[in-house]
Amino acid sequence: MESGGEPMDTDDEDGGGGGGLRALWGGGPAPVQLRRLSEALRGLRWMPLAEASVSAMLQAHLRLSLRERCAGRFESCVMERQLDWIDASVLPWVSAALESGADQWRARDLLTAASAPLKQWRARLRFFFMQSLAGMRIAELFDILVDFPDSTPALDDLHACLHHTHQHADIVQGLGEALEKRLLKPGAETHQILEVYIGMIRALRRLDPSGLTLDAVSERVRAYLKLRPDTVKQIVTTLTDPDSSDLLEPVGGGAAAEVVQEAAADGDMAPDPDESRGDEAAMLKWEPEPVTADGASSGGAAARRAPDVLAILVQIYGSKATFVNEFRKMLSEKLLASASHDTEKEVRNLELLKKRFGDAALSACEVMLTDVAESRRISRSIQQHFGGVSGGGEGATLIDATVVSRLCWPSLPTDTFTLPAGVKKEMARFEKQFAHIKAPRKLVWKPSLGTVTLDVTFPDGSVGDVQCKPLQATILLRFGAQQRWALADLASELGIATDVVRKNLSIWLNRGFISEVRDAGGGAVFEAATSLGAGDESRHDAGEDEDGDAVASLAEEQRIAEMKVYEQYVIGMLTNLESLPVQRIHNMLKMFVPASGGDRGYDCSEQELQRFLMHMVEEAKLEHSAGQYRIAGRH
Amino acid sequence: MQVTVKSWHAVASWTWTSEDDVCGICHMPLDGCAPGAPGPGDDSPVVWGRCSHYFHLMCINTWLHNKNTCPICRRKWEFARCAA
Repeated sequence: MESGGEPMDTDDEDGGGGGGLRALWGGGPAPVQLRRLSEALRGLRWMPLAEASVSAMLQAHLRLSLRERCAGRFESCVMERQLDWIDASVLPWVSAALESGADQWRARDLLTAASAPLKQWRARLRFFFMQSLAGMRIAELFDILVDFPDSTPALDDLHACLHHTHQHADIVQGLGEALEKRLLKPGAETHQILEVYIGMIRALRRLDPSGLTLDAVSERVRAYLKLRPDTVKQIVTTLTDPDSSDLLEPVGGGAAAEVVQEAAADGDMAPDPDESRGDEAAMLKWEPEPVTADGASSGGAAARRAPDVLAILVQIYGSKATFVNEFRKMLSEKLLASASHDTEKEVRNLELLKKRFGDAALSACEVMLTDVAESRRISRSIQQHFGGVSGGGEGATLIDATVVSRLCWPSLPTDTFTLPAGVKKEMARFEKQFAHIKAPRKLVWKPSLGTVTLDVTFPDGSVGDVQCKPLQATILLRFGAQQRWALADLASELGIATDVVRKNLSIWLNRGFISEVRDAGGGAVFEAATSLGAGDESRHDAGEDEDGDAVASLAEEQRIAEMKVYEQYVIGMLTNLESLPVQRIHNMLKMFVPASGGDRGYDCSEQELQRFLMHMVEEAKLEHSAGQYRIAGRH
Repeated sequence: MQVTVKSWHAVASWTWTSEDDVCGICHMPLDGCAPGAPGPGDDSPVVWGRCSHYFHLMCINTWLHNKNTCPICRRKWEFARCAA
């Protein structure tokens, strides 16, 4: 621009007509002022110079009106309506401002008989509008993902815009930043992150069926989730949760189905020309993935096209072995906790998983389910054939048992305690009958596992069907036989440590069945309640929760206890080599502790080793800094 | 307070002999699968010979195709009737 005069003119027009402008766009006649101005500009042949300013002003107003009308509203498609509005209201104004014969601006059908410059203006405005809309939606994308599938119309808008504007790279960057700022924080629960991630997978699939955008964005989420210790567990929980079992279905609900079809059409069949051109452009624009990321997940492209969410979730770990292993633990917990032997859902889940991972990877899980079915058969036949013999007399409880093929299950805790005499007798009977059916196999009981249902009767009422663990049941049975127990006596009676007794007493303390009193010596003494206190449900709930936590942490403690054997190896290694990262310790352990004969050797995952090492750090045996472990106190 | 057990659902694992025994032929745990067997337990049974040595049925069968001796003590192989 060689002179400042023209922009000033148009600025005046903008400023002066700011209020009138909207009235104008509403379709009123062009004000005299505007007409006179444009005539003057044309007379001076300054119109080309003014155009830039007109364009800037229009863009500012378009952006403003877009923000006013559409920001934060994801439930309806706005693009078509807004484009129509541009044609109907903005374009006539442009025509009035810039073209001669402005009188006709309303009468003429602009779209059919538009002049070439006006057509250009239209294309320019449309493009600018789509760019702004896409920019706004990209900035809001995180909220859109959280609202998905309610926000589907907004996504469809964005999809349509991207078709023209190719702002995929902005999505990757903008969404990535939003994710780091709003989601990937220590304060967020793993399952929440997973939920958003799952929503994101579905939404981005809809947005970009090729999966490239998703792949680029999820890199950060994957890397973050990988660092969280409970991710696998949460995935499996989500998986086995009946509400979200559609993760496994290759074709989910309506929207998912479309996406899958679209993806399939994209990948394999003859794609429609528009779609494929868009894809090609996106691909050309795309930077190749880092080689390492692709190497870790075998066949990135294939996985990218994977039709369901589960495949992508499993990809977090790169290997299905870790995932399958965690699934096995989960399945084991589930099967052992339910006394009903009802495995219909698990069988279904397993069948679906098998389709994904292949039969071989899940053969152990298959054996587990067979074990449970077989146990049901055996328990039933024992009850039918031998159940009548001892009748329902005192202490003669009918036992049913899950008999497992040890090597196919995750390692089960073997801690023992003194079972009630009646139960012991029944177990011996069951064992004999089992040997009768399955000769010459023997049984090894796992006393701490299983479920017991109790009826507890007080003088003033009774509580039926109390479910608890065998050790808890055993403790309560002792109190049924004898009102008062000192903690130490109870522990020696049961043959376990006092803290274990206390841990398992808490469920009854919380329910008010047992209360704690202190004797003269200051030792802890517990007493059975004489009446059924005020039925305090809240305390009862608290007890259950605590129980769940205890189970979870027990599993972890147990794993750490199993890994204790490697402690000496680790200390030896670090004594000689000063400091090592976890990968090297992992590799060296694999080398030094190979599987031999019945010994499984070192078969932990790197994550497990890391957890174990952190446990050693907690015990102040090691120090951890900058990814290196060293022996504590040696520098 | 009176406590009655309504049902007791226990958990156990089975074993042929003892938990750390391996098959003398395939060196896999006796309680696990013989090579090629579809699963442990009923699917890969364990048999005893008169000489009191024991192997996976599938393993000893393969051996017996060639020789009729116990692979460990070289005595003539005869199945024991019941080991229990």
